Amino acid sequence: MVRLLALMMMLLSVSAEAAGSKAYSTQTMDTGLTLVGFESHKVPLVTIVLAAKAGAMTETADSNGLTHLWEHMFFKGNQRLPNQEAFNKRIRQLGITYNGDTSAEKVRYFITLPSVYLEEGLQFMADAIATPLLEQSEMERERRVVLNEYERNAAQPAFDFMNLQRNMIYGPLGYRRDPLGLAPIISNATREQLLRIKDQVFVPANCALLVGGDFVPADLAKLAKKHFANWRTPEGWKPLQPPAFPRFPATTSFVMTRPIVQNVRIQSTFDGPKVRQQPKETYPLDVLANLLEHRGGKFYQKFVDSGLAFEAGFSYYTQSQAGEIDVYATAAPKRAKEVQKKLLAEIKEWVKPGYFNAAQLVDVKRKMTIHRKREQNSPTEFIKELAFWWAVTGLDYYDSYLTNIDKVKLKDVQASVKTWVLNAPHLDSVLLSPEDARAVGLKDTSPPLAKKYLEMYKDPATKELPAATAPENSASPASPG
Amino acid sequence: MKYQWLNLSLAIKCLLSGALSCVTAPLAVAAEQLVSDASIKIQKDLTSRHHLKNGMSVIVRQIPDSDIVQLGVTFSSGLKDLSPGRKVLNEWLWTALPMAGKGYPKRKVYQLTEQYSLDLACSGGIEYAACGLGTLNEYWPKALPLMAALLTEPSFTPEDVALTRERIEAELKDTPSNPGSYVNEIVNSIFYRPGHPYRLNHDEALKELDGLGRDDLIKLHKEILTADKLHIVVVTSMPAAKVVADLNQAFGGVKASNAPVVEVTAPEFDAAKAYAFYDRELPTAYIRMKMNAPGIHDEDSVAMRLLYEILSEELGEEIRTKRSLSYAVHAFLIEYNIGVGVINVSTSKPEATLAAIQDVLSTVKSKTYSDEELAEFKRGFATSYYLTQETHASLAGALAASEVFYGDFNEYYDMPRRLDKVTPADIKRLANKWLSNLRIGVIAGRQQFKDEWALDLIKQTAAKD
Repeated sequence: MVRLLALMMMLLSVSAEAAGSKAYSTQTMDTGLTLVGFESHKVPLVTIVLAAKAGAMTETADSNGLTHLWEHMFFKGNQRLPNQEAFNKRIRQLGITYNGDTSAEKVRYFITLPSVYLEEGLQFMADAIATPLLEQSEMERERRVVLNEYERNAAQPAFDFMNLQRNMIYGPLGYRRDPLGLAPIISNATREQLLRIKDQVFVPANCALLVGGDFVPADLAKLAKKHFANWRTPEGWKPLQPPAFPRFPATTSFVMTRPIVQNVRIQSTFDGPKVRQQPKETYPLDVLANLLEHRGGKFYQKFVDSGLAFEAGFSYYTQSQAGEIDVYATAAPKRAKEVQKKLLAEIKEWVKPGYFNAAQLVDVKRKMTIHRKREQNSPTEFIKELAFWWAVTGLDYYDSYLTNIDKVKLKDVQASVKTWVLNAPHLDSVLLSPEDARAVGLKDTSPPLAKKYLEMYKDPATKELPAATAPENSASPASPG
Repeated sequence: MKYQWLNLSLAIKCLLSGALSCVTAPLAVAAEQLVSDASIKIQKDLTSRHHLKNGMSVIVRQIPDSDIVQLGVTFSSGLKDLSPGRKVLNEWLWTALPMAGKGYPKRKVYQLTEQYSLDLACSGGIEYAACGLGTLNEYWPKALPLMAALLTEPSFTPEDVALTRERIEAELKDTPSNPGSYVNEIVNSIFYRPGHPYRLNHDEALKELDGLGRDDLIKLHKEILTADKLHIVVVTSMPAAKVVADLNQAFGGVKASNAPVVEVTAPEFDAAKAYAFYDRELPTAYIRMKMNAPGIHDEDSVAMRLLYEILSEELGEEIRTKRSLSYAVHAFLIEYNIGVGVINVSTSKPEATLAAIQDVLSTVKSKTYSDEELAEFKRGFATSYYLTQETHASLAGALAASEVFYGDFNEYYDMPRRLDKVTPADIKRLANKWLSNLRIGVIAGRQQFKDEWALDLIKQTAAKD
């Protein structure tokens, strides 16, 4: 018996090594659907994610926000669970927790449930994606919910600030970075529009099924085939080709005031690399962001530890269609001008020898490796994370990410700063209260820009929608989106 | 052949790791008992209690197949233990404390946390404060002495005190900017009367800040650093004996002092002071309601959790699904030594929404749920129970809370068995006993909201006795 156990342990160790550094498996099903499995038996749960390469980027000017509305409709009735009552009952029966999210470049629907219900969970997701009813009556009700979600966003002091930034950068194509969309479009959406979106983006060839947690891989493949086989990509389907964004505008700026803002938000936005076109350009930028976060580094010492700003940093958002770089700070109003001036001036220092050092680079790489390990420690979250990378960059990028990060040298970081930030066009923006603006001598320059770029967000018609009457069926109280 | 190998592989992994998934109840019984007795037993067997030389209790939970380690140190002292005038120290202390300690000036703290990517943070809560250290086994020998120095001999340098004070002041001033969180403060202003141990609004905190300084931080730290108020939880693959030996070095010198315990009483209801309105033009009104609930030690505690799960689902069904009045409506239960029930909603149709809430409260009080319906509501708890155990940090947090409130980690593990015993009659009884005497806070434009809508709901739901 002892000998048998030793042999089994040896086999296990060989098996683990053979799996290499890739923690998950992938395969493409006959229908074109990508199947990703991340096996972890630490708790008896599975998380099932359906991801689509869709979002604001696959919308048009007259369908902006409808992918998000579709996300809400995903959790409504389908052919097997024909009404909301049946849908909710099934959720309770299976002990499901669920949600979804829609962004510029990806849509994710996800459920977590006890692993004994893996098959039921797969069937649940297959029915929802392949046979949604998308009934007009349900949509009438759900879009009022979506509009309230929109209103909650609009209640935040930075809502107009971010919309103005986006629209100044992307001009008439700004809506392709705005998954929340426009209230009038949501108000007037039709079933036909949602059906069109279904055939354009919610097809197997454009989607992935990702499962993380407590399952046996061979079972998963069989069950996925069993339940998703009838979900087909329409004949002649081709992925949508989003138009290229206009050239990043020449350096410009604005100051916006909003009454309730307390601390000043200072931001400079630059054009960054698009990950599917320029993957190699992304690694030094990610390293740079971490170097600037390093608490022993000059940047952190100068801006954060000194008390000059409450927070300050650099971010690069990995995206395939656009890649914004932000240099930002939040500071006390009295320091607004000083922080903004010093923040932009500091960029010149980043390319000087000695600003970053080799030890910091080692720390940053170790930190990014440990971060990956921690990510995988939570199968529920990790599988959602994988869904993001599948949709936005492709999993090859994710697989080779740490290897590529390890190759980055300080001179690569400096070269990246020169290419993407130093002397590059940028949009400088400041958000603060009117009183603070007056006190520090800043003038709100946003009204004419808002008139030009934000008018489309005002929609008195949304207030006029008739109250929905109570249907016979019921919906989930959870909050997808 | 491949299928057989995979099952064999799984069997070996179970054998080696003690993974909970290996003892998931078979499908036949899964419908009624998703968290099996065997699963609970495995968890208990992987958890052990130890004592340091000063008597301090240490819980070690083994996760055999991982090199991640999570240390949680909990201080049974929070906002409730501070007298008015000192309450803001609760946040300030835990912001300033991790910055430097004896033998670890700030530069060294920064160097070590960056070098080993240590996840080290503290936060002060209402009933207790918690500090966490997340690291890998190989960095444990460097990380633990650092953590111990910060917690037991913090420096509170004048520079750090000033820096953290300015940050807290900025955060406090910023409180009203997010209506979603500010509405909590609005309702708290009437739920907790001045002098209640749980009360601290941002304007009061700002005033307190003016009269406090470094000496107050040092004094408070001395008060709470006492072995009888400290609990340690470690989630790790390292042998318990090694962990305990290391912890003895790190924390075994902390003295006990039998510090007094502050008793907390449930907030009293006064219909004349049960409504607060804050005028701000917003696209949607934010409404938050609070009501009393039994505390965590009450025998109905677990049944109350289920009641609030049911209430949340019923509110969502009526308000979001059937009437499309809100994107975000939910109810939840806060469980401390006293309990607090919360209903939260944002809506551009507040009158209709408040009427719907009244309907739902009436329904939940009058309805007798069937055994099958109740079983369905219970099933979601199995998922959240295991989700808590997925990461070292969340498991350490759950065990620490169980230790603080019950003095026994087994209370956390046994929760599914207590839930099994809750009956439809319990739900109806508790709904009628506790879903009343609402206090309502509202943020909305003055033209958007009429006071009588809230006052009427308060009147309709006031307890009859």
